[in-house]
Amino acid sequence: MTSSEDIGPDGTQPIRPVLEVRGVTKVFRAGGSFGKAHLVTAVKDVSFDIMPGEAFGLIGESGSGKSTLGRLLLRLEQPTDGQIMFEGTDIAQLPQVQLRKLRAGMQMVFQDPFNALNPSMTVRRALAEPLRIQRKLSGKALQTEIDRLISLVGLSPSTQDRLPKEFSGGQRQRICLARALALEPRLIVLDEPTSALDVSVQAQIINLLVDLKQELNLTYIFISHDLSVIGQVCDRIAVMKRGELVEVTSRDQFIAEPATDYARSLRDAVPEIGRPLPSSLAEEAA
Amino acid sequence: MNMDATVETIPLVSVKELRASLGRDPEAPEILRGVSLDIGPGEILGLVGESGSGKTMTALSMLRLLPSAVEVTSGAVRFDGRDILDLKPGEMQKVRGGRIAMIFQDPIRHLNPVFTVGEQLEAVIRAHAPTRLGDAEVRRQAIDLLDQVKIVNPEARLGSYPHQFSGGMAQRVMIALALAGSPDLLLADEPTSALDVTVQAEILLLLRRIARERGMAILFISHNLGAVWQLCDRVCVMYAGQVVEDAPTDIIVRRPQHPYTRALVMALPRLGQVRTRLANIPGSMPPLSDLPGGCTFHPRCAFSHADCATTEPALRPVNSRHMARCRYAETIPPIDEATA
Repeated sequence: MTSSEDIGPDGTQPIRPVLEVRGVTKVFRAGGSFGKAHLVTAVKDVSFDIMPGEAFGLIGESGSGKSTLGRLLLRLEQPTDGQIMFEGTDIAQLPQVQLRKLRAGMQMVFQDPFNALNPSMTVRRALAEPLRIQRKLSGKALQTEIDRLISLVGLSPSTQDRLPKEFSGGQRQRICLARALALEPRLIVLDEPTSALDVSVQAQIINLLVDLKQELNLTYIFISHDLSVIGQVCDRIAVMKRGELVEVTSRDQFIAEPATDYARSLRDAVPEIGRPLPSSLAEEAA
Repeated sequence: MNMDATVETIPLVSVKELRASLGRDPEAPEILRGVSLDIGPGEILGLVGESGSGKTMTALSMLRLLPSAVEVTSGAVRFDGRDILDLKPGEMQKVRGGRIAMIFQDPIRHLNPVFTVGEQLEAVIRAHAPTRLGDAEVRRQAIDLLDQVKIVNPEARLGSYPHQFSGGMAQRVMIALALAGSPDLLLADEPTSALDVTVQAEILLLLRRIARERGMAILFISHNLGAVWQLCDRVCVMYAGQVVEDAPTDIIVRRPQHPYTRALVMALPRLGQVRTRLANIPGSMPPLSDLPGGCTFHPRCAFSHADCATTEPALRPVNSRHMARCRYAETIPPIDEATA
């Protein structure tokens, strides 16, 4: 993975992207059991880089392919075509055995904290499992690490012998975060992490995510349909439409003046205090 | 933000001190703890609050469609001079759909999958017609309703089944069905929450136009304060089974006088106003089975006094057309746009 491009003009090593995505495409086979099977291109020829410490927002309407792309980037789905370089290694077609070694570096947090946790596992067990298996911790070191993770996400240490059902939605999302952080990842894909939460709890989780990123020098890919949330967390925003990336821009540029009409229509439709309903919108729909 | 619609008139609906519990047991948790609110004729009222605060139950009480486990223990729902809770089943049936209609978050699930949209519309039109109508007239009215909700080519769409519509289009169909009985009040329970932003904006525009054209009132239930600000004349904020604040929309977002409303507005991420940190409301809403004494919000309140833990506040006027359930409402600072 070394080339002359890796040496900067002044002879120093430039910062490498955490993730280099090149021409990633995913085609699904749909139907078949009743109607005729057909192919659906969920993600089409997507390319971008993510630098260390960035919070990269991925937005788009339902069916735009943003969640599929998130899953492809962590190889939870295998791309049909293209390259995904994670810290310099192409993981797009890597066999599972080699993939496993890299997996610790990248984690995912999902929308529904109710389904993401094993209901019969206490918080302690849920956190101990990856620490024991992947980081080979045991005894006192294991407990110290569990305590550290729990306080990192703002839960009280006394909660660790409880089951997921004893927690509220926001607390569960904190547990999911602690579990994702257990393997000391560099990259976290957050798929609608606050969409199931009430406003007051959403604000707590957003603030926590911003703090953790700072503290642990994390890189985020933040997938959401909620542009106000994306704007609060992300420095760069990528807009997807029907599987394609239509625009990648800075947050400030997105707010001030997006380059494409599609991105502008999304921005203008965000329901917010102080932003009247767009009068330009056609009320009619075909 | 049409203020003309909210001049002092006799309210269309008046919910008075409504209390309801989950079961008959006196120990059963109360889910509505003395809800009071008015909706004026033609007014668009927003009902805001977090999950479990009682928004949907308040709306369902107006149609007497509360789940069977829920027992109304006291209070009244006055509509057109009568208490809805006292109506005979036959009278209630005329109110449902005819005077008060309801639409929901998930339109596809509330449409019958085995009948065409036309068949469903025609059945509702017939049910509400004062006299027997001919087939051609019923069909004409069905086409007219689809046209009113801006469905293109309504004549052809009558033959479509619900699954052939997108979420936004299905919501238009549900609105058309609700309009079939020419209701005075439309209860809209999170009607845009499952839709993409652009479609959501279209539906909000549609609702506003229809309400203004017909002089129809809307109770717009939403957790999304942004959408509420865009659509509603006035807002009631609910917390733990009570209305805690009631004021015109612009006042609610700029000079709220209940600490919960203030915190809610300040916790909202906004593209138009990106901040380094969002204001936090510590903790979460307490379970209704285990409410704190005094003011139910006091453990999370940034402005609480010692007596807030012991004295329950009443919903009281703090200004003209502005009520708050806080003993210290007058001391709550307005939201400073610069730091908010």
